[in-house]
Amino acid sequence: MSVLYIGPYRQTDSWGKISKAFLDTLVFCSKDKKEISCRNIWYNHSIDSIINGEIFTFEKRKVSNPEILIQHGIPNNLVYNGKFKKNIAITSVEHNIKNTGWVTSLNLFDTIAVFSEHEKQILRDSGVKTEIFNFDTYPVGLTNIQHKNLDIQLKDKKTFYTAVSTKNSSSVNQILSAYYSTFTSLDNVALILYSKDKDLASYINDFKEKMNLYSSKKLYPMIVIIPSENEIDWSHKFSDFYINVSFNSKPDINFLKSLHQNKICLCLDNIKVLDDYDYYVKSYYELSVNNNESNFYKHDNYFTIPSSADLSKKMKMAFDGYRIKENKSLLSDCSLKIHKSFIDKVEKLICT
Amino acid sequence: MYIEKIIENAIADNLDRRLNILIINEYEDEYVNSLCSTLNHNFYLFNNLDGNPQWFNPQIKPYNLNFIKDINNIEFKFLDLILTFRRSESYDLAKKISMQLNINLICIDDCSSTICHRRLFKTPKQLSTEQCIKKHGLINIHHNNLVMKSWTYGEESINMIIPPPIPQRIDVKNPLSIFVDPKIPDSYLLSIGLNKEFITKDINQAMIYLHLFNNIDHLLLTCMNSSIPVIIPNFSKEDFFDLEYLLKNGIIIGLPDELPNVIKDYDTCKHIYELAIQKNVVERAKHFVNSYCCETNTFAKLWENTLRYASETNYIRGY
Repeated sequence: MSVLYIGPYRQTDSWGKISKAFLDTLVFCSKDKKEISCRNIWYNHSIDSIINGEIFTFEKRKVSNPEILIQHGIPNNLVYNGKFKKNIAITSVEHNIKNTGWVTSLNLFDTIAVFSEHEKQILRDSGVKTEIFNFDTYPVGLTNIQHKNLDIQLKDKKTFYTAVSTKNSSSVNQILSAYYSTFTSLDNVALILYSKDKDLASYINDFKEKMNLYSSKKLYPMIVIIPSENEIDWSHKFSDFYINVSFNSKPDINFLKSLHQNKICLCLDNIKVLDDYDYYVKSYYELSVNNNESNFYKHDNYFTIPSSADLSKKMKMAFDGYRIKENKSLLSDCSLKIHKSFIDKVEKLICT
Repeated sequence: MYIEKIIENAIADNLDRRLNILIINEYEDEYVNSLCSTLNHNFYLFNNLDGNPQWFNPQIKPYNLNFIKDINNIEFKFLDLILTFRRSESYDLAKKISMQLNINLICIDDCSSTICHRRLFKTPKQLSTEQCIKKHGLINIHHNNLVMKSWTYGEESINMIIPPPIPQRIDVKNPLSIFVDPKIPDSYLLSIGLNKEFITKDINQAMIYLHLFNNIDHLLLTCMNSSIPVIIPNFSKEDFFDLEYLLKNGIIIGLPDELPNVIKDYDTCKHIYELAIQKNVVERAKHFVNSYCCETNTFAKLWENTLRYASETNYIRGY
């Protein structure tokens, strides 16, 4: 069955990585690689193209017998094409879509595939009537964990880590609040924040002043800022606890990488890929008051937000070594199970 | 709209469809006209850019040349390609659109990297070669080998020569005086000391042609093909790099002194014309045009292959 895949797989940002990992999975699932063609699209203007191996062959190949068309991108860019027997759209959404044109366009597709139950619900709430297929997780090349050596003096401290920005949606306030209210400088702990925001250090200082927990700032527990989100693979190798609680967070690449490296991952409870998991952080829905014209989806932003109190509780639990050994084997199996599950779902998507 | 184009291009049975091609024109109406009249595609120009029209000859507008106001509001499904001339502002705009729409860019060069961009005699160089050499399209079409060799590109850029088509021959009805390009404003002619009474902008009155640009252009070739002897002012060494071959081989005549000192009476034109006939300049010029330019069929075939290739090739950033 011939498949034409269109996605941003040449980009090196998170969209590109997901697209490339999906394409790799598609190739892995395909019985006849001669039936696969692919074409790249660009969303990010500043990223260099990266490509290797057989994908170059797929890019050159023409579709002689149009059967399945898979388009991977943001909703307003996806267009149904009647020459193909089956049109599949793969997309990621964070908010309800108010633009009726986009919803109408999506409804033309035979299947829309998303990566989480949360996104499926958003599309349903936006008026999408067509079949919605849920992968439950992102695809990820788990063996590609590369890291540079970072010069951080942590001694034998237990370390939490996450990627944040000074924007609310990265849950920076909830993370700082939970961390500072759980630990003091007397605890053998550190929080590593990966961020490209240059003003994060001053943001944290302001936050300490607002919290006003201690008379001296020296009493607050240690925070290390790494000025690049791309270095997070170092922590996947050497740190202890990954925090994945940004607003509307999904089982993204870092989540899967952390599981693959046997890290305890504190994640929002809307990520339902782990059974009987102790480190889900309770979440609740909130309507953002910051809606403005720059909002791409032109709609009020409903966010799934972590509970600081529960995050604090889970941090303490992780720190105290609660069920670490048991969870480690559980997590190792889990990452492989998720990976396998994704492959099965891709097969199902293109075969049904 | 570019996803639709990507899908259409990926399907094998779409090889013969008419392409939609946007051109950012830079006073090259004749060249655009040659493209439109020899190729069965749809060509588009902006009505104007920054208040300047993109098309100066309404009387020769081909049937498949159309005008658009805004690339985000077009009546057809999508654009396939974008064409631009040289490496200046037109190129910058074309590159921007190419990146925005994810369509391939073809750059047409009629100037070498030495002169960098086409300009009038005694006007300053506004761009540096270092700046321009970084600019290129997926395919760069050069008018001749000298131009092609002067530019160097990255691996993903393709360089090829498509000579201009042989220009239509004009029978001059009443040869009287020195002819200059009608597009050149009078104020410029005045600024370089040319007396307006010895000059004409009507080609039907052309006895000789004073070429004031620093490259080989359509009008120069037209005059040479129409037995109108060509003279050029005394360009600086770097500025006349592209015209050097013509001058050294007696295909055009170089004026020895400043223009006001040479063109100072009615007899000058006649003297230069007689000199040109005597030195066989006209014959050599006609011979040059025949060897430099190509037949219309060849021009069309080379362009058709180029456009098909560029349209079929996936858009890649970084070329």
